[in-house]
Amino acid sequence: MKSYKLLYLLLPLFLLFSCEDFITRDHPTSVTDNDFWQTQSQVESALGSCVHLPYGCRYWSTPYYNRICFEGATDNLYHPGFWLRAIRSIGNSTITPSETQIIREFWENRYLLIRRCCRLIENIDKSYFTLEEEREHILGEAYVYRAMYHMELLFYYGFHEGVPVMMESLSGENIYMGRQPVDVAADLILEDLDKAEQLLPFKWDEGRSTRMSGATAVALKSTVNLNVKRYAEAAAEAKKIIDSGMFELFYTPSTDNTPGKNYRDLFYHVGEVNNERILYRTDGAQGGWRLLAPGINGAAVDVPTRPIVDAYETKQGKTIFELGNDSIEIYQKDPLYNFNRDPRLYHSIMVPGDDYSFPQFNYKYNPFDNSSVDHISQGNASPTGFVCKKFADPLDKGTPDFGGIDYMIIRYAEILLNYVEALVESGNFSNPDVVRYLNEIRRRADMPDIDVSVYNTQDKLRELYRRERRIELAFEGQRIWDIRRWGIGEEVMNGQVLGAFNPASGEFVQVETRFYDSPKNDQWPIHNAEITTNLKLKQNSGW
Amino acid sequence: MKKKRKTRCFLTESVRKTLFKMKLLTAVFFSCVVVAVASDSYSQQAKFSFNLKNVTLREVFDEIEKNSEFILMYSEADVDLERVVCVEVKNKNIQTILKQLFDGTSNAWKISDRQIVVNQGESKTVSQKELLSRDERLDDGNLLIRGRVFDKSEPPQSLPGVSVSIKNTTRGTVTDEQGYFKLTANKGDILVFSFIGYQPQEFLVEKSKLELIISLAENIQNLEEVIVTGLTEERRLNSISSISKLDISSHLENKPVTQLSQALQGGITGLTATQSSGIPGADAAEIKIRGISTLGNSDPLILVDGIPMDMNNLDPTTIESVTVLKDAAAAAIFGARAANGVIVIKTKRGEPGNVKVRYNGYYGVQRATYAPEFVDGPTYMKIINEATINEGGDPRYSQEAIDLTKAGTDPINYPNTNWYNLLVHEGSINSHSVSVSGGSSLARFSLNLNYLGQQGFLDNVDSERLTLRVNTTVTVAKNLNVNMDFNAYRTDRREPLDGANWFLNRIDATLPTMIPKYPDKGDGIDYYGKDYTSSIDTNPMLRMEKGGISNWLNDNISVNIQPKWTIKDKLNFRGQFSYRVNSSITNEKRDEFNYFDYETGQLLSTFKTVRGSSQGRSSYYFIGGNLDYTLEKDDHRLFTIAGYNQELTNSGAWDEWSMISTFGKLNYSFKDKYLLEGTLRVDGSSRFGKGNKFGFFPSVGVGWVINKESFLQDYNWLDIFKLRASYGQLGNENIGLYRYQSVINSKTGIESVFGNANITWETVTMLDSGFDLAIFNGFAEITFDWYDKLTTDIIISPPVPLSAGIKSSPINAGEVRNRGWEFSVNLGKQKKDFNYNVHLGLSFNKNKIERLINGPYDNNTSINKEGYAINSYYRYKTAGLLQESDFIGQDENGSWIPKEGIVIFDGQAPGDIKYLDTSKDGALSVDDRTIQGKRFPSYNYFSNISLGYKNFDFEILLQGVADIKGYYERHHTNPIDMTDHHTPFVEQTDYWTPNNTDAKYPRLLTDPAYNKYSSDFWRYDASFARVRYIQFGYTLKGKDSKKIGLSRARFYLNVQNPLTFSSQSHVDPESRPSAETYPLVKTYSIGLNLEF
Repeated sequence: MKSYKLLYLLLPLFLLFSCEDFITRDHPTSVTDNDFWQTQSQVESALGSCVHLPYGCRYWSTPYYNRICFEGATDNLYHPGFWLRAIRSIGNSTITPSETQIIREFWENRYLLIRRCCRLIENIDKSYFTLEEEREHILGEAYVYRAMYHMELLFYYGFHEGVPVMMESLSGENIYMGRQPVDVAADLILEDLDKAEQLLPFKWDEGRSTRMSGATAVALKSTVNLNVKRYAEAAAEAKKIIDSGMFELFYTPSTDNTPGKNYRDLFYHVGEVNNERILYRTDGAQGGWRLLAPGINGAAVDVPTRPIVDAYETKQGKTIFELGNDSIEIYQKDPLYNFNRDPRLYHSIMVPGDDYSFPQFNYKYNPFDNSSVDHISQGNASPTGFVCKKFADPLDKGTPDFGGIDYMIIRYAEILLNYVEALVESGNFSNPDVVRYLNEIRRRADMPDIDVSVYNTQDKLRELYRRERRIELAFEGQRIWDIRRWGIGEEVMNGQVLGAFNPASGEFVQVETRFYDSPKNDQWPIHNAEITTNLKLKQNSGW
Repeated sequence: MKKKRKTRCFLTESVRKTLFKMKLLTAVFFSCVVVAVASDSYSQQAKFSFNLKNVTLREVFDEIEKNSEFILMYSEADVDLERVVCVEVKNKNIQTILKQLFDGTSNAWKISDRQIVVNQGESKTVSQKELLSRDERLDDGNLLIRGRVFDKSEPPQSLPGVSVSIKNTTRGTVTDEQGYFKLTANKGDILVFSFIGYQPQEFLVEKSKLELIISLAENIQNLEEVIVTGLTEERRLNSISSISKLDISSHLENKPVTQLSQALQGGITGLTATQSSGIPGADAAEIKIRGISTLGNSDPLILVDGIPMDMNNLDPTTIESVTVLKDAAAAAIFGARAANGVIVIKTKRGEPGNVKVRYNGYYGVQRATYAPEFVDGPTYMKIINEATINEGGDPRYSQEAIDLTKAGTDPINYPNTNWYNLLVHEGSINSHSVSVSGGSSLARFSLNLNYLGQQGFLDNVDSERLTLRVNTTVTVAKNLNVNMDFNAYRTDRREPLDGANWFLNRIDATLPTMIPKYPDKGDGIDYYGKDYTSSIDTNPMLRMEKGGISNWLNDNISVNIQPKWTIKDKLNFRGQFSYRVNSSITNEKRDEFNYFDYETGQLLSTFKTVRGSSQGRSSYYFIGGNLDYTLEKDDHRLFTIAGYNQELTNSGAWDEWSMISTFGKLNYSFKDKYLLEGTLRVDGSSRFGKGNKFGFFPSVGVGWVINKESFLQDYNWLDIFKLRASYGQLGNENIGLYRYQSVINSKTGIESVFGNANITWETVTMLDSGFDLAIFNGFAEITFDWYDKLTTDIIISPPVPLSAGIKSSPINAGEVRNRGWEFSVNLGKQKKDFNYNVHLGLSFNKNKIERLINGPYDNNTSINKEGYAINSYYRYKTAGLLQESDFIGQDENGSWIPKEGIVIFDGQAPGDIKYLDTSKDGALSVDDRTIQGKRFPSYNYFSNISLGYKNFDFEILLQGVADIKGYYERHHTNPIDMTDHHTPFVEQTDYWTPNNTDAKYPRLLTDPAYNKYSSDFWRYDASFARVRYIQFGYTLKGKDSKKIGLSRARFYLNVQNPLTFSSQSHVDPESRPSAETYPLVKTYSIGLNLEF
């Protein structure tokens, strides 16, 4: 019997024999920080994981950042699309802090990317680079990305109160970040951009033009300064780009006689490679066709409203409101009347009765024809009677979802407009550059020069640059920030949203009622998931 | 029949049973006298002193049995028991005594072990011929039948002394020492094999079967039954643990149960099985034992024939037993994996006997338990118009369009579609199982082949499964037995490429005013209606017909080899080696489809060709062994076991998980009255980092069988009364792999796992006490258990702020307590023609977080907070709907101004949900959420009733839960919500308007932003009682079934989930769907069991 007992004693020894190796199974395909950050190519791919530029209209992937859709939350556009309906809720202020789509995912995504940038910046020195200057380039790009993401967060969520700013990859208790006031946040963003400017070439060659450049950093500095109302700095940064001589407004090689063809082709394949772009997303405007009416294979996801249509001047450079009441009524009821409006209208928006946009397809836009699939009550049709056609090159009709041009995130015209605005707002409105650069933009669009007899005060020039900026950069994602910067939310975002004139009812189409409270609606709410887990961060005022 | 006679011997009952399977003496007419002797040495060593004069042989036999361990076996026809003899011996062995007794008589005797067989002796043994000649009724049709009788133990032991008689005659024989018998009988006679302590068995004589192997099952009282506890088996009487056994015949046999986990619903106290989907092939139930003790994976450990595996792909017809180990004493031997309880499953093995072929099959039709009822087109249009007007827009539809839709005269331009009726149809299920089993003392086998086919409610949703199991047992040598099992299954499941749930969502979301498909134009093109709820082509009809199909194929093969070596008497070595490979592959297939506009013929979009496939695989092995030893001396019994095992899983792209374990257990009982048990297990797991890999899990248990005490001896009606208590620790290592490491993608540097190097086990410390009571000779059994289960070092990944840019990493964060009780009663009676059984169970569990580091953890709509249940609902409190009387009026912009004391969100108006400012800070915000009930039920109950009358049987199972809250989600809340589009349900037409202020739903808004908050406005009582099944059967056996060439046949009708009782009729209270949940099913089936 004793021998058996001995056997029992032996059993646990098995355990000792099978050493701890057997139960050590580390992750098979991943590595730790100690193993990574060795080579240049690793750092390059790490930079790749830091990149997420906004799309124009492709709207179906997280974090759903596409600037045309975002503009659906402004007085330029109305967003009837069922996808991304949060945009519409932002527009009419029914958005709530528990909205998961935009409010949450954009915020979460941006901080995730910022953390990746931080990690790259912290670890890049460990790696071996064959080309030492590439280390500087990559580092510079990481700074630009980090700054740009912070800027977006600041403008969307913290326009008045600021946002948390992450300047290093955090761990432990430090992950609970408090808010940095706008000025401090702006300083930190500008600090990154200053560093980047030093590290990066001012402009890349065409082959590497998708990379962040010194000019991008400078352009972003101009935008940040402008929005925090540091006008002198904003003007100075914009001027750097103007003075570099490396950028210019695009003029098309097309030989047709269509007025505004330069502006038109800037958003067509023919103008895709140009010297106007400063930052762009490759194929970012894919899906642009989807903005069109169903009658031409679109889905009218974001549709223009009456205010922007009315904002286009006449060909003679007058606003329709400067004309007599009869004329106002004519243009409001029929924006197509005599084709007598800023050509940019006809290259950006389809209005009722439009048969000139796609003559090659024998297409006419008839939103008030009961039998048409484009009728305002039809599925996927525009409920306003207007359709956004900027970015819809006829070449892309066969591939409405995936065809498309690059989408410009920052272009030279915007920098000119930044510069003009900074001059006007800093009191330097009599600077000849104001009229000069506004005219450059207007001439390119085949519009007459400014009537300086009318636009000669700060107020009048403010009115003008604001209108010019709205028209020139329509649907390019600037309007939401412009409204906030100019403090015009309550004025333009309240009340009934109207569409085109409906001859059947004899009234303008009514779409919805919007509400806007400033300063509350100048900032999106922070998602509740952040507020409930991060006790250092309080919800934006009013939300 | 002659009077039965009971031997007396002084072996303890347990010894007699375990050693000889022969508790009681046979009493048969052709009987032998058998005397059992422990061994040759016992018969040599046992010395007797008798001084018996002029006594009958019967009295001598009694004396021998009284004073020794011998059992005498004899036939009264062979031995003259009334013969007067004298025995005078002093300190002599048994041989001497027998010699004295039988010398000079015709009787011969033989001793083997402790068994003494007395018979007629060579010369007088009745030859077959003599037998024949004695019986005048014999005719030419008689048959000579040879055979051998075994018990059902492993390895099978031959049974000597079994009476083999021909029914309704006096003819018969008795098996010899090796269990052999010979007999002549007529074709059509019924042989009855009977032996005390065993269930009698009948056999119909056929010409084709003259060589018989018969195995008799022990006749076991419920509390004497043997319970499979994974590593060992123990008598329920000796068990100290809280163990429940599933009644296989009630829950599995002949039920259209597609996944074994579903069969655990009702029948075991303390266990909750919740089914959340009815998708064919993906409809397993989630099982929780004794509450949620962890925030991570709280699934119990499932062992099938000793090996951890998924129970859901077992063929239910192959299951022999399902045992649930609930307390620490029972589960501690499984250490680190046992914290959530252990379910031990044993599959059927072959038994000695002639080859038997059985068929089990059923066919059923299936319907959803709950079907949504949508409003029709015109109502929908009216509702949308109302909502857009409420928001300041123009009505979307003209009155003319509404009227035309209603009239239905122009279905192309003004369609009115009921998508549910269009796409959802009845499902079906059919299953066919064939089993072949048999064997001898050398080898036993059981082969099972099962086909299960299911058609879902939607086209292209179906599932097929083929299961093959071959269980073989080989007796290699007298003391070496090897189980060699092979199991393979293939599942083949199809769903549309978009997934079945997608379609259910689209059925809810697609407008009733959309045409599914246009009439044929004659141009060979299929035209489908367009959808404006989304800008991609989401017409479910289009997607169903042209959207492609996903096909999953899963193959799983496993072998399980278990040698059992009896090294020496009562010392056994058991080994186990198991190996399993699993391979799965998905195929996605769609053909190019151009989607044209019906009116204009324009190309709207193109479905691109999809030809995709992806693969998965995994392999697993388990190797282990243990030694057990039983020591019995006088009134003491000591059972010890110790062992070691290791296992390794390698799955996917080389994800490995390994464990090593060593364990020991000691079980001591004194007079079967006082029971004591101790267990110890050490586990090492690869899921933890250096220094945290090993866990140590002890347990102790005590039991007291009170009815064995002398002061209760007189209470004959008391069968069993046992008190028991146990205390011990169990572990839970069930967290994701590599959580101790912080790793990054080796190519991109993206952080993938945010680890915690210090993470370690969760420990469950459980106290259990209870009693088992059986009364009135098995008529009623009552079991009660109380437990207190404290999980410490609970692993949780606290929510991190979105702005941190990192995912959560796990920490050992606190303590959770589950406290509760379980009560079950089983009543049953078997009469000649009538039997009934009633099984009732009730359990209660209360879950509470005792401690939470850095808590509470706020997950927006749920919270983990000290003092409350895990994942308690955390939502706004409401007080119905806002009415105009709550407001002063509107301002110039149209905004409503609330009266003093009423707090609203900006933009709220009459008809919106009235939230309460519980924080009293004058504004509504996340601070106003309150804890609003728990996710898991407090009470679980079931009632299973079965009745049998002659050949008819009837059975019903009712199961339910109570004290649980549910919340309507998504489509079941606001009538419309364009951000998550859906067609309103009929009952959602009861929405608020100025004329319907007492409405069930808030006012209409296309984006009811503020009315979408998770609040108690959408809460309901999710208690329910569900009739799980009703079954009615008819059995044909014996001569009746022989007429149709079968030895047994049964026909039955079954309804699964026919009735549900719930406080609300809107959603299924069990699956509690949000929008896109494939519903649970009601199955109406007919089935057939045949035995050849």
